[in-house]
Amino acid sequence: MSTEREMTKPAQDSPEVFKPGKTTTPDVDIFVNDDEILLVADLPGVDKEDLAINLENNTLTIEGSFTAKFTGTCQRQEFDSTDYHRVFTLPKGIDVEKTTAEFQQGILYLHLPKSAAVKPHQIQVKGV
Amino acid sequence: MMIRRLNDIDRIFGTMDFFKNQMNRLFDDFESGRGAIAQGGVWPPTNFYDDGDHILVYSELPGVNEDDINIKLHNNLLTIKGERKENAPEGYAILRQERNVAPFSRSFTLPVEIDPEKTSASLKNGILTVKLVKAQAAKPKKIVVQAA
Repeated sequence: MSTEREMTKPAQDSPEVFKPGKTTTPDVDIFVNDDEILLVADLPGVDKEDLAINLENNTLTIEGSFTAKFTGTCQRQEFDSTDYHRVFTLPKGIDVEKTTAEFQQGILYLHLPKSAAVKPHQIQVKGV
Repeated sequence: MMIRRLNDIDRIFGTMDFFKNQMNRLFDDFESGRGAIAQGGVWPPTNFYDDGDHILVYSELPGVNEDDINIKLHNNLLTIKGERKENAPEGYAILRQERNVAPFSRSFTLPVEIDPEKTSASLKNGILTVKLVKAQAAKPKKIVVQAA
């Protein structure tokens, strides 16, 4: 099939559906200590119910949607409704079962505890 | 290029439109307030809406405490000031830091007279809403047409 055919195909045949509106990559901080990885994400405007965190095969997906409820006529617009989306690949040794998340004032705090196997161990030196 | 049917022309334009929209989106993202401090822009992104009796000001301030926001109204000048505090927890090493933590201040000249006594503000999910009530003289008035 010719290239021009390929190029023009999506208009009619593609099953892909593009959701209208914007997608934003949220700003994220990542901290680490001996026990856990802490991920902090800015998700302004998202309701707790509109936030989804998925952990699957070491892939962490954070998705949230902000539906703006502005009233009146717009005079100046610098931000608007948006979908937040970001994907991370996690290192091995995360205890998925014990993962916890808090969400307050538009900020997500995701605690990813390290499993016992990857935590640092102090080795005791014994005298003879 | 060989164009076999008229339909193909439509499709080509459809694809071009799609790319055009994608490019426009790119610029929108750049111009919006997101990550603006790094680009030397303004923060927080702020919207103004007018519903007749009020001017509503919306600002994106995730993670800023109510106590750290200072809203001042002086004549027609509205100033939103504050600080986003460092929240790097104790005893953690930083792997990645994208969220900007800095004092911020923005001032706006309001187009109409405001009744400063009735101003209110609320914070929900990191979005600040300031409700400014227009002064009586600035409110819209209905003019009744009378029969002669």
